[in-house]
Amino acid sequence: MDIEDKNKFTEDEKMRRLLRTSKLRASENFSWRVMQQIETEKALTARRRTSKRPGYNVFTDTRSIFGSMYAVLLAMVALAYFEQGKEVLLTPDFLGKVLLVGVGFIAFWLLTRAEGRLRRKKNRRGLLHQ
Amino acid sequence: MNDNDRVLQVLSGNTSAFAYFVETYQDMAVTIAFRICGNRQDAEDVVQESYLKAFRNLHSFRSESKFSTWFYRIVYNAAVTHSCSKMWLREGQTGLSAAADTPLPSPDAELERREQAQMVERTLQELPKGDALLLTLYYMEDHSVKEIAQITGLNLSNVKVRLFRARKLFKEHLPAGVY
Repeated sequence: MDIEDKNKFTEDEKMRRLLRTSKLRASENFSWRVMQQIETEKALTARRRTSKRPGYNVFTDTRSIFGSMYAVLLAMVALAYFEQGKEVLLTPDFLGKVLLVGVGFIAFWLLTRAEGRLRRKKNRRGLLHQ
Repeated sequence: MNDNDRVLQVLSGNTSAFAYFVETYQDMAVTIAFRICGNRQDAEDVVQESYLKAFRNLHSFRSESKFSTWFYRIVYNAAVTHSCSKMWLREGQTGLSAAADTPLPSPDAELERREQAQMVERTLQELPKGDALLLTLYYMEDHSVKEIAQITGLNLSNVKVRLFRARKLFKEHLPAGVY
């Protein structure tokens, strides 16, 4: 290290020692206050998240109900076809049964949707009063 | 365990791991905020708010830089916004009058550490805020010029020039015998 570098090093070291004497210390309970605020915010955020809409997914419900309907209809068609031949598929009797099954499933789907809507309304009302 | 590992811990749900960052960096953060705000209560309020911001935005922390650099940048921005103060004076402006010639009573007398600290603090408060901040960042925790540029938003050459001037100004205004 040449003399110029050595002088600069000494100057820097002097500055460092001087300036470090003026470093402030946070208040004694500062870290406690900060962590309290963070924990409180985290708790409030978690509560807001869980009180959101319950896990109702119209797509999975619709898929499962209509999926079941198609499965039942397919089973009916297959049974009728293999037992009585394809002529029976176009008879009014058979078509009536298919229609009945379809209407039954659609009614069930509508009831499920209405019940889900009522449940959500109830939950929202419950949150407002908390 | 380094800072990046601790960040991952907090992000995975262990909130209490954040206490490490509070305890490690609170003193320097308060010092930085104090240099800008000029008063201790405001400085602590700013730092508390900064910790909350850091916690909320921890997912945006990139491990390429140090946590301290990232966090002090938040503190700097919060303090400048809070105090609405003009940080960086143009060349030629110092905002200072000529240094008062107040030598110590006895040049041979040994200074009490507290008196020396008070004189240093008084001199820093007399300097333009930006200069005092640069000296604080460079000498208190040995931040590199590059890190100081990241914290303050200044470019590298600007930091070097201002640091050189700040050092000169500080030495000129420190009471005789302290340096």
